Amino acid sequence: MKNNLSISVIVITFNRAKSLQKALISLARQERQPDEVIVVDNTSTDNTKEIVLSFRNKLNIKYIYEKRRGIPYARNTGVKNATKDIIAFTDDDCVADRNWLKYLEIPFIKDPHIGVVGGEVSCLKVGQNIVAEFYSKNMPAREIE
Amino acid sequence: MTANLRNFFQVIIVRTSFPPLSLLYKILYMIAVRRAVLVLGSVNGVEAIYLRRGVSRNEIVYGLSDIDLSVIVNDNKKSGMTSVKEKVRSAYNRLSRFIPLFGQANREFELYSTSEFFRLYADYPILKYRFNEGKNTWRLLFGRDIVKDLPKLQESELYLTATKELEVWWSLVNAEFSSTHPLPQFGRKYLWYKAIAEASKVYLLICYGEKIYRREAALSEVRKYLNEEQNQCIEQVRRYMKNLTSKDNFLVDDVMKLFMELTSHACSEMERKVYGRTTRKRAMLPGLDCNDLIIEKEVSHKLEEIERYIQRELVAHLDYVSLVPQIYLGMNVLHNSDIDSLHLVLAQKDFIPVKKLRGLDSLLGKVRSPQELELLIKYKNVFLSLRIKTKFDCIWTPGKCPLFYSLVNYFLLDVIKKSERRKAFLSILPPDFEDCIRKRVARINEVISDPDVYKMKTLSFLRFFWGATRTKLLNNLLESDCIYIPLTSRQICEMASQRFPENSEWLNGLYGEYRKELQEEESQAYRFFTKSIDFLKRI
Repeated sequence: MKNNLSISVIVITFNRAKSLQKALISLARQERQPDEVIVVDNTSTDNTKEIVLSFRNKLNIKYIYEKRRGIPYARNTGVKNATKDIIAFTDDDCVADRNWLKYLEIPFIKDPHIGVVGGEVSCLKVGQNIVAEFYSKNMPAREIE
Repeated sequence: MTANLRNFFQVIIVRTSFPPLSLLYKILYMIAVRRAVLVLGSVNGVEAIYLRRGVSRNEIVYGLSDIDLSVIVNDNKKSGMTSVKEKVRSAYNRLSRFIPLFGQANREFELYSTSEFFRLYADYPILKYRFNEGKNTWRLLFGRDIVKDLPKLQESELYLTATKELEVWWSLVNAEFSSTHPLPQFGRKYLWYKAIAEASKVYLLICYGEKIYRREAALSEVRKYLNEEQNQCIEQVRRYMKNLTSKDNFLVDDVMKLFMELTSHACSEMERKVYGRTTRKRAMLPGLDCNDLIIEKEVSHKLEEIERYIQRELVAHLDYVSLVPQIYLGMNVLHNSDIDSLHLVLAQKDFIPVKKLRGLDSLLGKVRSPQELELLIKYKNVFLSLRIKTKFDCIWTPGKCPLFYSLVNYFLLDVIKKSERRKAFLSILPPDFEDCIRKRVARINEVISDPDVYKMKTLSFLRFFWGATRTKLLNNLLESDCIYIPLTSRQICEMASQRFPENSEWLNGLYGEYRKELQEEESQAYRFFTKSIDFLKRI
């Protein structure tokens, strides 16, 4: 029985220190704490490094600098440095729900056949808000029932 | 066609079913049947087309009778990329879309391959009864007569399967207890006519060995075995049929009572003839106390309401009220939603009016709590389910479910509420007990080998797990003369822990999480999936 799985969270970032801070706060407030957080700095020129290091006493956090620019390079570097059972990706402009990791872990514990999980993507009703407007231009609109 | 429009046309046709219009309707039915033969018979691979039920027996009620067809196709024949079955089905769909005389494709239209037809006849009691009756009542419209090749039924098989027909009709007339989907008056009259006629056929067959196939003939014949009051009811039902659209009073209590009488007699006689001489194994059923059943808030709240209603409206009609755990080991309930659910059983002293039962049913309402609360009424020797989940499991008799009968006589409502522990007691097992357990074990093994088992919702999985554990434990005990049968999840957990002490710790942990799930609290039960499935594979 896989009763205790560990989770590495990978965040790649480029010059978004302010929003990264919010993202890291949301990780520190997770009900199920991440076992390690890896921030891959993809050549930022702002105070990204200081922000990351300021979380050292709240999270088991690693700061890694990737000089080759581009999302694939940054993500792969994050994966190479991850040491836990599950690798979870979030972005530097995302605030994770406090139950994110708790629910993300459940399918892996429950079912040994599971390799990857993802959240549901729903296109909201057209015109409801800015997110919906964005997606309505890029996706065929389908109202949520 | 929308339901309202369909109802409208039905009323018009029923009201104008007299010459010369009735002749016109007859011609329309004939044309529709011929059209079906032409269309379906042209599909390469169709072996036989039969006309079934009312129309085949010339018992047509214009406007209400559907044209019911059975089509049997060649097993292996492929017609291009599409199977013969798919071609026939789509041809039928086209027909029924334009000709509303045909029954709904998903309910009334029967489509089998030859081997499937024989297999269903062997495995499903209700189909055994119906196909067997088909030897005398179905009309071959096209192809070769396959029905005549079905193996002959023994008398005991015939009686046993005939009672399944009663279950179908009980499930249909059950709409009377529900206020949410009332049928129009003419629909109710027609339904009751058919229900009483079909119950009469089964009654005549089982009690007197009379094989009568036509409804009117059965209603005439049954009269000589019934008392004055019952005969008046038969006449009433026939009058309903002659005048479906009249606004006269509809005496549902009388017909309901007659249906129950016929059912009860037929079932008693079937029990005597089929199970009477078989020897049975014994079972030891453990006593229960209030901690055994997980009566969570919603059920508890409902029970209080129900108790008040019973005191106010029903007490004069009742012998006793029992609240019993659901235990059924048949093949058709592998999902085991019955674990720790309850039956509320009302044993009638005299007939409870339908209106009052409807009131009771509405109290239970639409709310489905994690545990089911099922409602049964006892009429003489049979228990009839009022909230039917499974069409072929709604009339309970002593031979079919002796465990249930033992429980009913034992666990009155008060026992569950007081914390008084009861002693274990003996019961007898159903005659097909061993066979059922073995088949269930085979099915459980299939389920746990399939990776999809991990996709089950946690609570459904836990119910499955306790039921499957019980079945596997019982399978290991089949050689014993007297088998201990745990009734509730707690008892199953206890028994499994005793037999496999090395698993005791996590089994008890799982039980704790299961209780949380039932009470809709946050649980860690998902952590036990892998361990539970491994356990089921090992035991």
